[in-house]
Amino acid sequence: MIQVKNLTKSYNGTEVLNINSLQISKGTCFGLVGNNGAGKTTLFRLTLDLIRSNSGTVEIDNSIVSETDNWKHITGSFLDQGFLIDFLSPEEFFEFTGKVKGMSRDDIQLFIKEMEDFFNGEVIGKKKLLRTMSMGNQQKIGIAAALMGNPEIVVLDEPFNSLDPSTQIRLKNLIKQKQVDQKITFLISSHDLSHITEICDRIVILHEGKIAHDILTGEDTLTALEQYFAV
Amino acid sequence: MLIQSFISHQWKQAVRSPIWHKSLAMNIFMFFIFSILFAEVMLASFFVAKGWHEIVPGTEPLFAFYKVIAYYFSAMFVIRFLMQQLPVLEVRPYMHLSVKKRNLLHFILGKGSLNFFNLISIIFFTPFAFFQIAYYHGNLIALAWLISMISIDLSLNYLIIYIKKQMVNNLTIVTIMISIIGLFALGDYMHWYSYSETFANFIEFMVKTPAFLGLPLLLTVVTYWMNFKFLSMNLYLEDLSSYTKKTDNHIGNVAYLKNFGIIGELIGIDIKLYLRNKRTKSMLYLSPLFLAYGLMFYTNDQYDHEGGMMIFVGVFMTGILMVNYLQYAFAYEGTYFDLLLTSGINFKDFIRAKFIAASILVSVSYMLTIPYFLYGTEFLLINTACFLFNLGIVIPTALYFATFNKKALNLKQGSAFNYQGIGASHWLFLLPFFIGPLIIYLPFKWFGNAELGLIALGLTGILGLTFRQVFARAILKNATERKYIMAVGFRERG
Repeated sequence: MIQVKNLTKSYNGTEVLNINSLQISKGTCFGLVGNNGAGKTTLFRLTLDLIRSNSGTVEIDNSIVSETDNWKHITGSFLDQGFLIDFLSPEEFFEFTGKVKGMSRDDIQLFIKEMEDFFNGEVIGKKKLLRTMSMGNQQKIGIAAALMGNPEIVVLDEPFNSLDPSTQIRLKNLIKQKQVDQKITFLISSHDLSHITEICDRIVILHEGKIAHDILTGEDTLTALEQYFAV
Repeated sequence: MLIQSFISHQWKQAVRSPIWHKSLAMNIFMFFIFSILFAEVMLASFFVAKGWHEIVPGTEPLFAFYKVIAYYFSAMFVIRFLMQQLPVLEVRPYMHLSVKKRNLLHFILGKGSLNFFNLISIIFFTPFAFFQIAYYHGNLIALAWLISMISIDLSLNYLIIYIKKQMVNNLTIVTIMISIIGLFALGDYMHWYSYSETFANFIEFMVKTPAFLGLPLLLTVVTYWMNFKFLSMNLYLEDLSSYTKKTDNHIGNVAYLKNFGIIGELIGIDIKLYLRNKRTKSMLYLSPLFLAYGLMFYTNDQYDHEGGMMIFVGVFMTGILMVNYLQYAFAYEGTYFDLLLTSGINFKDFIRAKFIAASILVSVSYMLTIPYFLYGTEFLLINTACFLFNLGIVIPTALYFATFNKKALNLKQGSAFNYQGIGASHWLFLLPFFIGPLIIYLPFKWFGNAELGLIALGLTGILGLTFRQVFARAILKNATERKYIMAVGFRERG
């Protein structure tokens, strides 16, 4: 599904990412962990063609992301505030994103209804604009928008940040359910080791831009991760 | 100690803002322009003050100047009312620290007195105090007079701040204040009394009875205290920002647009963007002013009805709204540019949406200028030619220049004197906008056939319209090539 080949990225001569080869197969929940500055967001941005690589390519479904637009119709993403339009209400934002993803108005209504549990009654019908909502609610809206339009790949950068405990649990269930029901390939980064071991089949540790470990999740993964990051 | 660190933080904030570094050349240029202006104003006031008794050869030169001061203050009142802001938000990071609230307030209010307008007043009054007042009344009185005038100006400063703060909370007080001021203005207009005479008499009285020169000082203290009291009761986070405001949430919903697919959606988003953000909204408020531009020139027989000035006015009236809309394309979307890049909207649709919306803007502006034919049919011709030129040439050019944007606009601030996110390319673009039409029109006029010039201008526009696809491709190419540069620039927002 996703193939990374000889990918490097440097800023002002400092290399921040160098990945020789990485394949992610369809339906995997791929977890990315690493300390600040390890290159997690850089990898995601390169995957979504938001920054230019110094060398190498990322392919989604056998097409190079920087050369075509095809992959955009099967990819949903939420990295940061830059994926939200802050002067819209949540309803308007979902309607816009849904339309762009080719959903009909009924599809969009249905989708919002499905998400109601995840929103916990704090998002829809509040007559607020996104910019006046709390970080947690903005985060919920961004994650939900990434799931619109039956994507095959969903990229989420630290999705558990600023979510309340109940919503964190709901998000974990949501991801597991979507992975089973729709065979969505998830790319998720997180600083929370227990969350990521719980939902992901495969975990990659990035260190200074390079893949330090590539683990298939098993019973002792969490302990291994904790040991790796122990100071 | 505390004030010191506040000041040093302010300085760092100014110097370290990414915008400052990015547009250093621009800032130096602006600084240069302002310095020259400043020096000119200073020299002018110096010489006017020195030779005032020759300029007004009457018996009472001082009294004549006092009348000028009366008008100066009333003009200042209006200008300040429109432009002045109190920098309250800047104290937010300090509010949770163990800093006395009093000190924060003094800092806010103190900073509120350091502004451009107060500087103008100092330049305006100082030379006169030294050259004229000192000559008639002696140095001591001159000094007292100067302090007194600056105090009046400061009181005005704080009064405006107070009114503007109250406008958010308490409209009755503002209404009462404005009606009182309006009543005085009406009285002067109806010749019930003379505002300038009364004011001048008052100043003369103060000069003759120097003890009263302290009166304005008292006024400053009172207005300062009013602000202090008001702020000390209202210095909570929710009062500082528009945090709790719930209005405006449904403005800009145009259901009709939903029938036009992605392009309709994109135009819908732009309409909401315009109506729900302060910076774009204040631009819209100004638009009637732009459309009234013709009233100044078309109705004035001093100007040549076939002169280049008229073309300038025509292009400006039919085009300025569109130019403001297109020039900052991409930069308006700067805060959600990553979304646009990943969501699968292609730039082609984006550009087409901009073209359509801009064409509608130009057409509406044009239709609103049609009544100018009442002042002469030639104005209808001028506006039509300028409208076509805007439609065919200026729209694609503006959008092409917009692909060079790489600074996101901060839409939460007003637009008057706001240079955030504005770069050299925006100024550069104004050249073809203003000079382009003249280059086409003037040669025909000089050869004695102004109508042919207008026809040529209109035809150029139609030609541009026919080749719109070519322009669109060039814009698309540039936008695609520059998307990473734009995205990196937009992500750096303060």
